[in-house]
Amino acid sequence: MKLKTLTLVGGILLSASAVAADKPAVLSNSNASMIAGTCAGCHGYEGKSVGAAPSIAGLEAAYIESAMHAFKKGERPATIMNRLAKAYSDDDIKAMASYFAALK
Amino acid sequence: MSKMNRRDFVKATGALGAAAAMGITAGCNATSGGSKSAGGAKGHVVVIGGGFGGATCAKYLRKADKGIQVTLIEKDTTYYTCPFSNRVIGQLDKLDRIAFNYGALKGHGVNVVHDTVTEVNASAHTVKTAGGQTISYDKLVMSPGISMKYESVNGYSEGASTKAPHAWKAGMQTQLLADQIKAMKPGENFLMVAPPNPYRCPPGPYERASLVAHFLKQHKPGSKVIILDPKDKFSKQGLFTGGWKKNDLPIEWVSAAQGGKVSNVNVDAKEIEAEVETYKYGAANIIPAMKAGQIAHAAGLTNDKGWCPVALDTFESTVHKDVYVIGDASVATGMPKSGYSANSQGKVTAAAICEALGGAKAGDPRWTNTCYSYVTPEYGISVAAVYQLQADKKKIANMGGGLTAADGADNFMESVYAESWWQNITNDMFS
Repeated sequence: MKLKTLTLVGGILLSASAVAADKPAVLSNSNASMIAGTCAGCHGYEGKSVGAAPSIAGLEAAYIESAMHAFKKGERPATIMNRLAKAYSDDDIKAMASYFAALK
Repeated sequence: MSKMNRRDFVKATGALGAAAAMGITAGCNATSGGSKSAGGAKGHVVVIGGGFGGATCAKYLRKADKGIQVTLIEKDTTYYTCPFSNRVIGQLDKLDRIAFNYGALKGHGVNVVHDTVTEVNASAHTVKTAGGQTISYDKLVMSPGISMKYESVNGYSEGASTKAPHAWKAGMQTQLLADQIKAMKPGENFLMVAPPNPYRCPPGPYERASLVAHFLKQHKPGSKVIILDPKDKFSKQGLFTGGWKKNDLPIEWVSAAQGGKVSNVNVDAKEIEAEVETYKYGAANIIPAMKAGQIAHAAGLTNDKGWCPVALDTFESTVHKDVYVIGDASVATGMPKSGYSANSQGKVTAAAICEALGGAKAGDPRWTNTCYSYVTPEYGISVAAVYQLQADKKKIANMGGGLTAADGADNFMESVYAESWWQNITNDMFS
């Protein structure tokens, strides 16, 4: 939805890419297990939480993806995921979603 | 080389370790997280230090590939987590709550040796222990944590730390400080000498001050916390000072500019002399400057500032090949020295070593750090970030994260998730 708006409104698109250009060039060719490794500290070993944070192992991949995109856009209430979701690209989100979906 | 090491490994660790090492099955699916089989990696990794970095790395090496033999050398049989030790000091939890042992790591096939490494011979690829063992390795992971520069505070020493604990390594020091705070007379002050940068756990002193003040406010009328700081700013400063005000906590922060630099401490007279004023105290917490853990210095891995420079893609030492330094001891340019950073570095370095030993490709690294602090038991704050490596490999780049919203709406839930974080990260390491 937001993407469509951006392509329609040239000015916004320009400023968006200017922001992206400010970010340093980074190495992004990471394995799904590497990306998923950043989730375990809060969501539990292999995505199985033993605390108040939700378990994410075995959730539908589509659900994880839509939740992450909603956090990223600030459309889903959160204390911390709204901050952290911004660090992941669409490809990262896809990779982590299928990784955790595959865990029982 | 690796044949030789396996033989030595058997010699050093006995039949039980060898039997575990023989239990290798073929076939591997490196992308499935629960892989329990060997994926082509072969070799012996020695890990020194069983804290957030070392325990995590040992477990994740075995998780990555059962063809990797892992020996963890740790001097203590009980490990106390630094995270949540401030709750013990703030009289909220007992010390045994933060105690862990290495039983689960043994269950993952990690050979746990309780001994102290006294010497690293990087060219011979061996380590020697106080117990008289010589253990050879293909790869060595060092996660030695910090050691104290007692001399950085005039009048302070290791001996003086029983009277005014630093409590910056959890365990007996934590208990000592907790007991001394409990014994304070109403009206007496708690003095904290905060450390200069860089040090383990940047928000730690201020969380500690918060929880001590929370206790004093309820149980020691007229007492307050005074922080003498050699710095003019600190981690999550706005969130802390806002929380102190909102919760009406008796805390006075004396910055460097206001005379916070300490010129002398006298733990017998219970007196601290700072630039502008001399303070009497009922209990004191003196946190000196820090450097990498002792063994890192003995191994020649440190720079002139006392920390270990590493290649940021793998955390392999820039001094010695096949030696990796993770956690607080390393110079992880861009990442804070925290338990969560060390845990995250342990995973990334485990993947890098797995690849180097012939196992699955590690891919580009990803690290993370979420750092919760309590202002009161029901008021939490946090700073968080996810990291990737800059293309020039000179810096670990913060890709997103940030601080708790300043509007105050999330502070109760942040205290709930702080508890959850501790439960999950200790489970990640010790289950």
